[in-house]
Amino acid sequence: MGVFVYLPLVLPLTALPIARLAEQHLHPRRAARLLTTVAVILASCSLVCLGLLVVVGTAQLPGNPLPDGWSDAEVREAVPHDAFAGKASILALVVVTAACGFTVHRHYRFRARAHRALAGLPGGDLAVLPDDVPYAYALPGSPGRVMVSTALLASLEPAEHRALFAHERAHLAGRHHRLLLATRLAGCVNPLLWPLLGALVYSTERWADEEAARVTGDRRLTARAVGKAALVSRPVPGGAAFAAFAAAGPVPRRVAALLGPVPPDRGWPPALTPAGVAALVAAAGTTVSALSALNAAVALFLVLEAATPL
Amino acid sequence: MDAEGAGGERESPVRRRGQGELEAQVLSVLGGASEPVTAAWVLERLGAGLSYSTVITILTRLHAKQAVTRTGRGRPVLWEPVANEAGLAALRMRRLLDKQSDRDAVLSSFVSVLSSHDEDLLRTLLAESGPDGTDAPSDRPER
Repeated sequence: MGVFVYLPLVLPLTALPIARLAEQHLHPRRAARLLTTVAVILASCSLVCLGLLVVVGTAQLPGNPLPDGWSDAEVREAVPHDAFAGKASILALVVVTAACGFTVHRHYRFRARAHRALAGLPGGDLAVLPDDVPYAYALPGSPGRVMVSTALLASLEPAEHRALFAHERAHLAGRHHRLLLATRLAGCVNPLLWPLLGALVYSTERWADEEAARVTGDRRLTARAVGKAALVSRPVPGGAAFAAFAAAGPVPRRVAALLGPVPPDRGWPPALTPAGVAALVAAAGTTVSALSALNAAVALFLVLEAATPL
Repeated sequence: MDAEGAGGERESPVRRRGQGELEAQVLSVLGGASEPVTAAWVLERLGAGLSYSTVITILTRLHAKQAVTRTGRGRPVLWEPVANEAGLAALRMRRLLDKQSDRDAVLSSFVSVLSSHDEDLLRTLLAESGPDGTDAPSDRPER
């Protein structure tokens, strides 16, 4: 398998084109699911290969629990046995484990604290908080809650409230937090996957926008709600000086998308468009990554089984 | 005057309870009301060895702190909470939300901060979006 064991560590690069193009060419629901699936598979393959490198590269280091037979000549022939790569993999594996643990811990700690803060409030799944800062969030949990500040409600009209609530409830109903957490963890496993998180955040917002437009039956109303909500929070002074030269930020793109037609909900972008090519590249990269990891894992398993003294 | 023995099983006597705790209890009772209520109504819900005058004292103190408002001309005076449990919940939530990294790890935000370029773009989009001009802070393109 040789170099194949390293392939899954770099193949996440093949997912970057689709992360760029998905938002324009795919229905946001499909984009979100595709990005999450790709991220999770690629991250899993990276993790398997890290593990394999650790096993082979470190089996003969003094004091490790693995049988020395695991780095015998036959094993070394079948897999790269670079001691440096092995030690680096140990370090990487420790960092990855710590980062994932921290991410999960922070996620659930925040959720628990937020639910405690809202515990005394009546009102079912909707918590209206008297606050002069405009905000609205979907807080996942069982049951999840929508929390919205009075300042934001005051700046929107009643019909727009419906769009806002429908948007937040769509986050809860679609369990977007799970997709986001999974992709965040994938980014912790292999930092090359981080760009997928940004694309997924945007896709889930668009998905919730489309749901809100469907529930309210009025795309313009939903667009106005999104736009007005963004406008009531003033820009941070000096905070975004360079953004003026950049492309349009996420909120104008969301509003423009809502003012346009309903995005087509087709299964796969046409093969000859940039998005189609990007999707194919990502699919190919993911497949090769999975096969490489599988190949490496099976080869190593067979060789180790033969090499393990019993 | 001392109610220590009488209500001992249900609640501790007045003088054993801190003023802050009493104020919180009164606020919580007021928060449960669907409309402005009288001090007698509050006393009934609180029960447990409090006197009418104590309730009035606490309500007056809360009024001085602008935590409750009094309405009703003449009698009966009606009381209504300004900051109730929702206000406390909002304070707790704000403390949580202010930690941006934690917040971003869990919540996706409906409202996000715009660059000035985005702001102009958004105003233009909204202005084009419909003739039924809304009276939001920001419908018209800036001149």
